[in-house]
Amino acid sequence: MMGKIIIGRYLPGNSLIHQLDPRAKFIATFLFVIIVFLANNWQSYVALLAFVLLAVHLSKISLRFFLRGIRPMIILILFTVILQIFFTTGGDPFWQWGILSLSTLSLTNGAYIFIRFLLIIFISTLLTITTTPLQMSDAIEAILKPLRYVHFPVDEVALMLSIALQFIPLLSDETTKIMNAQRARGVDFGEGGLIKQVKAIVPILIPLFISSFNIAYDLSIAMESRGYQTSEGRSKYRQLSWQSKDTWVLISFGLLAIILLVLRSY
Amino acid sequence: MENIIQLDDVTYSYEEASTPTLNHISFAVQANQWVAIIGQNGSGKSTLARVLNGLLEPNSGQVKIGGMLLTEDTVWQIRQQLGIIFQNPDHQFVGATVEDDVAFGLENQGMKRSQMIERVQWALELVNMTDFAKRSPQVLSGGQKQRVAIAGIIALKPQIVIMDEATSMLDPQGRHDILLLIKRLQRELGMTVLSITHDLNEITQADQVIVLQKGNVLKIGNVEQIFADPTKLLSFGLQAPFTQRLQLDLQQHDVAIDSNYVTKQELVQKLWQLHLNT
Repeated sequence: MMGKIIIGRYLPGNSLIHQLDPRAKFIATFLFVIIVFLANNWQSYVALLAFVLLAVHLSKISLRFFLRGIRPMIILILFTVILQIFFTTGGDPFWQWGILSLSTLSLTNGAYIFIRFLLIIFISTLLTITTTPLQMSDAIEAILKPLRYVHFPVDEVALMLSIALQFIPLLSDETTKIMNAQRARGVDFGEGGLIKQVKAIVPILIPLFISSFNIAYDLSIAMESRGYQTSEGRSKYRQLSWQSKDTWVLISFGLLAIILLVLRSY
Repeated sequence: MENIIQLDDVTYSYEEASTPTLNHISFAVQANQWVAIIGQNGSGKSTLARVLNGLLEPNSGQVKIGGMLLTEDTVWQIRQQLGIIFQNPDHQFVGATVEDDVAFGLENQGMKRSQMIERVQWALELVNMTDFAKRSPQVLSGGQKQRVAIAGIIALKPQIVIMDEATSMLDPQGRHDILLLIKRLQRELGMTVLSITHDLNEITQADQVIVLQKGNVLKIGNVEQIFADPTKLLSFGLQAPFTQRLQLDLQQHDVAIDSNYVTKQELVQKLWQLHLNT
């Protein structure tokens, strides 16, 4: 199941999109989610679709890959769309049964919602697939920076995020190890009723927690002995570099928003 | 020679323990020496390492590092002179890439970025990991991980390096490589090395061996003195070295050979002499 979901996975590459500053990509994705809601007629959806397809093309990752990524979520999307279609009132219904009705308006509304979902998933997949988790946490840190003025511990949160990301593989190895060790001692996973299955998780969870505590203890000692006190007075080795192409990306998203606003008035 | 590390009557006990983990310990280490600290499990070796860099504060007694008294005010200064390489490399990585992890200690010092890049490069070259700079530490092998951890310490250019069973999780080849590396760094950078270990090869590198037992210093001496009595070695948390075991076995077969510690080459010489004389 987890293997099929492509959101949150990173595909290495060297395309224009890969080279962009993660901050630019992050902000652009955020903007896009807002921009999508400006669209209200088919011309604007065509413009949006063209824009996203161009972006996908620039990433040099095949469209088929994105479509495959949608597959695990398709039921959820269709469910929402169908509810939307049947419960939309207004327009001229050509079919009606109780509170359910079908009209041209509800059908087009459903189609729009479907496209919206698709577009948002495409663009957020594009973000995660061309950005390493590390770049992502750097971008989040940079974007949160203004919050320092309200005494939000940005550096600490960024460090926590970076450590958390980095220890995922180690902890998942640890989980497999514990599961196999418990299997060897006769614990059944994924069998029996709900209660039995939940009970079977306990012998994984407790050792996993204990081993996390141990890792945290070792890590904190190693960090302290390498001179980590607080985030204050630290310098930074990794640095993001904002280039003119990053500015252009944001400008293009601005232009897209303007185009959609113009199309709205049609 | 000046004493780079000096402990005077240091006692430390954990809150829950009934007996002190370190009991009135005193010893001194000269600069540029290789000192092995040995002892059975629970003899207080790791506690000693933590007391030395101020992670644990002794209940009584004094610790002096590089002539500086270890107090709350000097602890950060002392940590810059003293690096610890811990046992499990997986649990010491802070950075998400190799170079990032090596830079972590430098970042803490607030070093300028341009200088940092140079220093990271230098440290990675020393441990021969330059090609892995952009990789995640998690994908490396055990020996490579430990090399990265060493680079992270070396980058700080400490005068003293403590290895807290740093090679105990490695295979023989990895252990051998790390030892050669540390030996080289000791020679080239004039570092003082304190190695806490059960590993015989690591001990035979040492200029001085300190044996801890139940929180007390049982014995201080050079390698020959420590290995002089093979029957005592087990109580030091050690097995007798191969040469010595071989000599003991030969004695049992009435071969006229003594059981003093010798290196492999010396043993071969001895046996060759015996062979020529018969």
